[in-house]
Amino acid sequence: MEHTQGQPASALVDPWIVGLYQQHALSLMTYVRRHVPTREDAEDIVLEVFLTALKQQDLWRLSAEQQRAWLLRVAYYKSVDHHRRALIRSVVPLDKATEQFLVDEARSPESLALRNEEHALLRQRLGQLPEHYQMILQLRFVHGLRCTEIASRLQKSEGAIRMMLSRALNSLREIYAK
Amino acid sequence: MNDETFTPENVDEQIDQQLFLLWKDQARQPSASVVRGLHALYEEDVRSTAHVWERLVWQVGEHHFAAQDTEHFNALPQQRDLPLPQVPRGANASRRQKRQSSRTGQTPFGRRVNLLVAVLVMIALVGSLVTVLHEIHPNVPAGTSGVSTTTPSSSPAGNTWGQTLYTTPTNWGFEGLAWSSDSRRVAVLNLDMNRVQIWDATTGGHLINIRLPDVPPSASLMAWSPNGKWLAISDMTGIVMADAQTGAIIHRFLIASLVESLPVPHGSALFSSLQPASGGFPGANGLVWSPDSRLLAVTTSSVSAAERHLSILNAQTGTLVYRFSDTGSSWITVASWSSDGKYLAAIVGDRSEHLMAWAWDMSTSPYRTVFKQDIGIGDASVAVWGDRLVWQSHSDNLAFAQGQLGRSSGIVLWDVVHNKLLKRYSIPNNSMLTLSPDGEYLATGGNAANQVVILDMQSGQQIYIYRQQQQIVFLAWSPDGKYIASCGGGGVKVWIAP
Repeated sequence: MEHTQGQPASALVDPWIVGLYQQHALSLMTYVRRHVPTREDAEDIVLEVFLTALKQQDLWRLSAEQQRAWLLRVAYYKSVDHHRRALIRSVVPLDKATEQFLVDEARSPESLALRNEEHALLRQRLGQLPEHYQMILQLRFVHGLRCTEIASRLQKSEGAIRMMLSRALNSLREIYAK
Repeated sequence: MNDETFTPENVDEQIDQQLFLLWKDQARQPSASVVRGLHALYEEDVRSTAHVWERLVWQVGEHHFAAQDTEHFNALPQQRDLPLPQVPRGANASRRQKRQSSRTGQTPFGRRVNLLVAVLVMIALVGSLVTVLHEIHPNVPAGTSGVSTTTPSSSPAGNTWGQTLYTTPTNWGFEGLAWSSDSRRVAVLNLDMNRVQIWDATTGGHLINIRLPDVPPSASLMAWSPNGKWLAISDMTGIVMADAQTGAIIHRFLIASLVESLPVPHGSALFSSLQPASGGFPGANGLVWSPDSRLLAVTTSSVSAAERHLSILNAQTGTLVYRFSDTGSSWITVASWSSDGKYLAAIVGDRSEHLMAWAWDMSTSPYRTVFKQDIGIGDASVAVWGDRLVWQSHSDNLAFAQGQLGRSSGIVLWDVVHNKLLKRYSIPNNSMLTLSPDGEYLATGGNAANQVVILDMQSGQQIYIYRQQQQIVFLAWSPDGKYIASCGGGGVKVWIAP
């Protein structure tokens, strides 16, 4: 699909930018969340990545997979920069990190602390899974695809997808089985 | 509440059940907790993504309006907007990266209105994403009991067409199929055990396990050399070459991970890999032996899956013999070598997701493109299964499924040399093909009905339909024409062919 170059101002309502964001933002966010500790920092990094993308006038010429690869490379380097800057930052208090759960549920501090710990461990373990396991989980839990549909999309047999999905869940399940 | 581990046979239903229990606030059992945790994790990411979009739109808007204050408002229209190119014929209009027609001289108020519209559109998009996360999918797909049964259609009296001679004892984790040249042995990729298994086709005897080096498993394709000696197995990092008689691994060829700026000289050894990135299935994605077992045609991609190339390798040394550079494509899957070795065919997709069947004359230097025909429009992110494009033996005729991938409109047979359409078989929604060795019959499958339809290629008449309860994802006709092996949700079955 061919595109024309546009001035930065027109990118605001440009379907290409909407398309780029819609196609890649979520997986980019999931990727960045593995590398930075807080949601706010991850959002900042993803924002910076797409602001950088807006300045790349040839990005639209690339295929979807090339765009994805480019976005991930930029996100990686920005995550590295974030960690370098974090060395001189003060530590964020734990109660600020639990703010979301306090808003969502009325729970004791002990329960919240346990849940935070499990949540962080889940994200860590998720990041340690092979990339294709993570992709399968995302297709299942975000896009709601059944195993048959995932198999069709990923060029795998339904049996293989079922096996990998169940393996991934059982691996993550161990966090809560102790 | 019975808290069981997740099983392949019921994983979809188990997730649905745990999501349902989520809303009932059941006790914190491990299975419910992991589903709840993943649900919350991804929901959080979706919300963050929506939040970032709002910030992105406002940041760009603020920058734009600040710049507008200093612009010269008497600029000529052609200085603001570049002319739009013509959209190529056949481009998929549903793709999100399609430009609107050029605009002329919008007022600042008009731009603010557009900004508001953009925000509202994104809110609607994000709302649909969040709705997906909150949906419960109670539907239990039919036919997922995991018990394999075979219910072949009736065959002519006295015939045993469709009679199953062997079924694997387990149903899950199998992928890929290859017959030995003498039709006595079958090789299958067992993802569950990360190995290739070879056994006597009709009895399951003399089992050989080829343990694959990669952990976690990443093997994806497999091909048996026509001389019967070797099995080539592709994975994310390259190709494993194994002795088909003993199962011993002989070679391991690392496939180059490609970067746009890195040329790959012909004849040189293969190269280092990039830093791993997320997503995609890199490595060797297509794998076909030349009829003389000397060469391998391989589709390779980088670990970022950003580049794909069709290459010819020396099967003994792994040396690059030739790399195709004339496709201008964003997607290639090598499919089939003609029985006399003269032609090689592949499915090629361009950046507008237009898929085509290509064929090259391998007797010329450089290899000359002799055939290009439309397959249809397909999302490049939906990978092409193997065996969608096959040569009719002892001929220069190429058969492939046509139409949008996943919903083919039929199968066509082309004379490649004369670029002439010979036959069209009306088999909707079937896109997996295998031909009988004598070229007289075509078996096609891969539809939701879980069946294999066998046609007489001359008359186009359906002569037999093989049915099973589970999805069929691979088909292979034995070289002697007696059997068909099918692989899918019901495990691997070897049955009598017409």
